[in-house]
Amino acid sequence: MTSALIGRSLPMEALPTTEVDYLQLGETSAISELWDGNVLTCPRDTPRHQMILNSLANALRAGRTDLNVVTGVPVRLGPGRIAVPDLIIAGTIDPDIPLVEAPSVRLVCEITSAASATVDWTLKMHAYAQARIPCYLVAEPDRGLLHSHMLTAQGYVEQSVMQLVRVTGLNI
Amino acid sequence: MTTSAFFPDGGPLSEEEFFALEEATDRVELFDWSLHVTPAPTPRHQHISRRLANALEAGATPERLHVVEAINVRLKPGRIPIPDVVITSDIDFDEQAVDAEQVLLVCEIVSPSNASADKILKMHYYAEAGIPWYLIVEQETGALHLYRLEGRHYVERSVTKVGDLLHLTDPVDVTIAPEKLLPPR
Repeated sequence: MTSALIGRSLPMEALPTTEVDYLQLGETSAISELWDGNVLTCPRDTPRHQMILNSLANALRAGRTDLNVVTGVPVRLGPGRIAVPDLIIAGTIDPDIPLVEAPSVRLVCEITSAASATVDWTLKMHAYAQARIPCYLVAEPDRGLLHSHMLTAQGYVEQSVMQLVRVTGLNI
Repeated sequence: MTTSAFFPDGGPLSEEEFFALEEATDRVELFDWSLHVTPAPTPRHQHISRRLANALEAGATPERLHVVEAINVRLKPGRIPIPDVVITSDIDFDEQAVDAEQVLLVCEIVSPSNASADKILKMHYYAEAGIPWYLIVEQETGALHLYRLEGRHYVERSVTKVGDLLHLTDPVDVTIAPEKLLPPR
């Protein structure tokens, strides 16, 4: 079915979106994620977000050649659940497969925005913990903070809060 | 097929654009300017929704309270979920969305495989919007989980399984038997 506004079919007819359908959504100007058969599509990130992301990636890469720091690739957290974290640190991965499996992921970092903050702090925090990803960083540009969390049996526990500018060197 | 057309310039949709999208489907919610697209509900889901709405309405004073299924609820600008069932105070029946202030109880009917949005994200949304009651119905078992807002979080008040009865006094005065909500086996 189509709408006059968008002139294209919506992603699915009536059934939960499968992983195959989701991966066929392809390159878009908006980021889509698969949450248990539902598709969540977010507006494009701002330049500020991307600048912070780039500098965080550089800071995390510094001095470590044994780990892969990758931004904006889908991570399969479980059946029917594929998120697109802003940044991940992964162990050995196949660099030519555009989908990373959660067991390879050592760390996820999300940079919050007005549109993403609640999801980053609730749904994603819960989902990354459920996928047993050892470390979860949340950067809050509005507050100038970088929170780090380590996985425990009870879920993520905050380990530290840093000044974001001290990590990125960016005053924006 | 792509979803890039939903955000023609990459930026967020306005609420007008979101409502225009909804003319094509009622399976799109607006979550902080992001689009959340869900599949069409199953017959089981719809059966439970109708039975529950009828049960709640039986306890609602018609001049004061209304029970409606699957309408837009604006929690704040850019945050417009579509709860399965709501109990509202006086509303404009011709308006595109009702406001959170008018909603006294929200109900979501969940299945184990897709409960995360309802149990985690939406629970947070509804609590932040100050909606006093949140009822979750497990569509496989019929179990009713009732939450009451205390401060800024929901606290579980009761779990009612098939064979037991849920006695609601607020916002409506009604007794619900979970097995009466379920479709025949």
